[in-house]
Amino acid sequence: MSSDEELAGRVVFGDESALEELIGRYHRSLAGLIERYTGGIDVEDIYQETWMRVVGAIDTFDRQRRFSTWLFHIAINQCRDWHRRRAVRPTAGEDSEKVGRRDDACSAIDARALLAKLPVEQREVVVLRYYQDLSEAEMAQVLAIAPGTVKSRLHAALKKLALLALDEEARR
Amino acid sequence: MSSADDKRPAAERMREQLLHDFANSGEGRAEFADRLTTLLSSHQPTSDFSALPKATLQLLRPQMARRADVGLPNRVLWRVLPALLPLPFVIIYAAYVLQAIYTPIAAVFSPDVAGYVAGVHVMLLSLLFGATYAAIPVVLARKDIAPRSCVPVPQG
Repeated sequence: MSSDEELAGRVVFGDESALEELIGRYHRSLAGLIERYTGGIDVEDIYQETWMRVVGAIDTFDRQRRFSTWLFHIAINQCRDWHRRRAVRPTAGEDSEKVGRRDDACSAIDARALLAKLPVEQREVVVLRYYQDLSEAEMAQVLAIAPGTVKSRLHAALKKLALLALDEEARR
Repeated sequence: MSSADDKRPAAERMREQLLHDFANSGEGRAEFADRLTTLLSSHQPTSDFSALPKATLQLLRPQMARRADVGLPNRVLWRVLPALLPLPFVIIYAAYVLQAIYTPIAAVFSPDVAGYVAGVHVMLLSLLFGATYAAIPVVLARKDIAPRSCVPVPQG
C-alpha cells in the first residue's frame, strides 16, 4: 500500500486515482475537523476549498513531512479564513444561535455548543488534540506555533470548557 | 497519526490524553478528565458527508487534467532516458550482424545486391527501434486518459 506522501507525489503529475485514494483516506477525519471547528456550517465549501488548495499547492509539499500534518494545516487555515469572513458579516452571531437552538433541543450538555463558545485559538487545539488525536508536536506544526503555546492554549481551553460545562449545568 | 495504530476506543484515548495534559493538576484530576471525556466524546459529527469525496473529485478533475498535461513530457523523458541506455550496445550488435550478412552475400552475388539487402535490414531495424521508443509516450498518455469513474471512492 502506498504511503500518503507517495500518493501526493503522484498527484503532482495529475494521477487522479492517487488523489481519489488520498481523499478517501482523509475524508472522515477532515470532514470531522471542519465540522467541529465551524459547528457544522459551510463544511462542504471548506472541505472542497481545502482539497483545491492541496492540489493547487501540491508541488510545494515537502515529502519529508507528513502529508496529514500538511493537509490539516491547510484545512485549519481555511477554517480561520472562514471564521474571519463570518466575523465581518452582519450575521456573525448566527453560529452560536444556531448551535444554541440545537442545544435547547437536547437534554444533555451539547459539546458542539460549548466548543462553539470557545475562542477560535482554543477551539482548534481541542479539536486537533482530542478529535484528530494529534500529538503536541504535530499540533505545533499544523498551527505553526511553538509547542509551549500549544500546551498553554490547551490548558486554558480545557479550563474554559470545564467552566462552560459547569455554567451550563447550573442553568439546567 | 497516532490514532491509526491505536485500537482503543476514542473516549478511552481521550481520557488518557486529558489526564496527561493535566498531569500537574493534583486532586480532582481524574474527575475532571472523566467529566471532559464524557462531554467531548458526546460530540460526534451528525451530518452526512458521504457524497463529498465524489463531488470534490469531480470539482478537481479539470485541475488534475491540467497537471497531467504539464507532467506528461517530464514523465516521458524519465521513461525514455533509461530505455535509451542499452541502445549503443544494440546498435553495435546490429552492425556486427549486418557485416556478417553483407560479407557472404557480397561474395556470392554482387556488392550491389549485398548493399541492397543490408540497406533493407538497416531500415527495418530503424523502424523497429523508432516504433518501440515512440510507443512509450503513447502508452503513458493512454494511461492518463483511461476512464476512472468506475473506481469506487473508499469511504474512510
